[in-house]
Amino acid sequence: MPLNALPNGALTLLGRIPQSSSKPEEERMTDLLYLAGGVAVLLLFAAYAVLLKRA
Amino acid sequence: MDARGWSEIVFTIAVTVALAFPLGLYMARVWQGQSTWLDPVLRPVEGLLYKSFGVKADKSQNWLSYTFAMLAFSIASFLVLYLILRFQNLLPMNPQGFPGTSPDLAFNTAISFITNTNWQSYTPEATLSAFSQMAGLTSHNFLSAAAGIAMAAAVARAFAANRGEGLGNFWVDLTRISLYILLPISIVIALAYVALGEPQTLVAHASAVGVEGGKQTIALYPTASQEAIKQLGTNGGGIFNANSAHPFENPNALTNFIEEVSMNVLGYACVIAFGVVALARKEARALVAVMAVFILAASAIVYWAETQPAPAMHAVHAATAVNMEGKEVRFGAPSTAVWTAFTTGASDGGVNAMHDSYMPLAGGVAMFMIQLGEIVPGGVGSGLYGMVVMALIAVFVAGLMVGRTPEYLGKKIEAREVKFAMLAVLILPLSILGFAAAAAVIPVALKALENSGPHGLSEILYAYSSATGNNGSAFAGLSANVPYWNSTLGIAMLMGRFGYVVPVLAMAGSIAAKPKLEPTAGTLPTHGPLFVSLLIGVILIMAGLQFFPAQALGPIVEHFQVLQTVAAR
Repeated sequence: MPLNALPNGALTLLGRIPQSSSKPEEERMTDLLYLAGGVAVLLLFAAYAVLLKRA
Repeated sequence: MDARGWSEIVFTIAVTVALAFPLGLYMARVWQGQSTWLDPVLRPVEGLLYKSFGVKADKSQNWLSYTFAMLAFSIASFLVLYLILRFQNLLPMNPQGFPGTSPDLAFNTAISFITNTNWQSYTPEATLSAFSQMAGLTSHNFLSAAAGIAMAAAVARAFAANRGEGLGNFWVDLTRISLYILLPISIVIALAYVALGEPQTLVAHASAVGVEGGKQTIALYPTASQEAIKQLGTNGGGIFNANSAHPFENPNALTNFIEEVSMNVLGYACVIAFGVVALARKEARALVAVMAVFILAASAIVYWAETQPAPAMHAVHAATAVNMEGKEVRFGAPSTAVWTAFTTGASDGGVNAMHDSYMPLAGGVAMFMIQLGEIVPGGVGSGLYGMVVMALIAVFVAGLMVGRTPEYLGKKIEAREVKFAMLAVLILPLSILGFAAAAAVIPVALKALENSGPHGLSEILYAYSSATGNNGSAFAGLSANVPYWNSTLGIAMLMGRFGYVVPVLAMAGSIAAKPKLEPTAGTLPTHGPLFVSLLIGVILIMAGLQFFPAQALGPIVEHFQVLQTVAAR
């Protein structure tokens, strides 16, 4: 079984990043995904800072 | 190799380090809010900016508030830049009529420029409007560099503090560093570039007829202004795809020299400023010495490697002492070698040659310089705090050997600080090796590779090293403008920037709260040759343990393949 076929694994997730679509409504969803994803990762670093403060 | 080449390398490094001293003294004045000769012009602008944005300039922040301010600024920058890139077709200064970029490319590019990486998955002159280049990218070249220097200033204040809490004010640091350091120096350098032949225009393109009669459309941009901050802020993102190998970005040997100096000088200057603020000038000079030793060694190895017989040249029986594949004739091997060390040591990422075309060992050295953690001299600001992390680990190791509680610059270094330092350092192998390992087995990732075997692995490893180290140079041979690579490289850039700096700021907060101690007879001197040697050893061992196994499967095995090929002929 190839590694990217492993169910529910991190590799599977990485291998299934959606391809860009030319349909406007799908592009809007992709935009939201990337915008929310970027902000979420940055907020995770803020949570990381709080965690370090309490450590 | 010849004496002229060696003297060029040594001269470039010497000039860069020498210029960093006066610049560092000036930078320390800016960090400390002291008066400068630019005050009559810039003080009113500075005051106006604070008033407009409601900044309380006299209010110092603790490390957590400083971190939150930096992250809030990064979130806002990411959102604005993403939207500019996606909707550039609706914005002005787009005479070429470029459409908005794809979502994954906007994600990657926005992160790339807010993290001071400037990785470019796209061909700039065929993708971005002048508005996107200027309002989007060039402005972030200033702001991301200023944010990096601001965090270095915060770390310096931590060592100066005596049972204090405040690390300064992020918004004040960001404003003062942009206004008093980056902007004026960039203007001077940009004018010099214009005088030396770089274009500075909003005209979209020029038309020309080639020697064979074919018509050419030659893209134009306000290149000189972008080029100045590109190198000064260790950004590295070119306005043209060929970066500083393009004759508009780097027309001649003199522009090449200025670009080399400007991409390292602020990195060293941050260390000098750190020495002034933290009352540790001798210790700062020791850190500068460590950085310069690495740069000299890397330049020497690349110069040596690039003047060895290349198999392709052997194959066609060409008598050449230099591997000129991927290099510009107007620069040659020595300028290319010292540039390679400067750009990979400094998290700059601008290139004047194609690293993919280097001999394997030279490519491996370029990659290793990034994997050291971008600390020699590193990105503006980030190099300083990265080197301080290494210095803390070095005194910790020395303390373990002699059984004393380690101290650095009058501060006791205890378990808490060392844990924060290690959390910062470990983010590099986690991101670089983790993402590289995944890419090496995932088919959708492998599709982007143009080479297989050890060279293909080098391309993967270089890409994630460059992204995580916030370097931004590409090894070439990788078609990265696809959702998989744009997304994962974007996350690697975030991890390399914020996964590193958050624990560093926590460490700074912890150090600031400690009392400042006077050195005793038992204190390890941290300014002499012994400490310089110890620090070099610690840096090499840390990076070697983390990345040597991966390098052994990439550039090192390829080096032996080359030796075999040459011997067979």
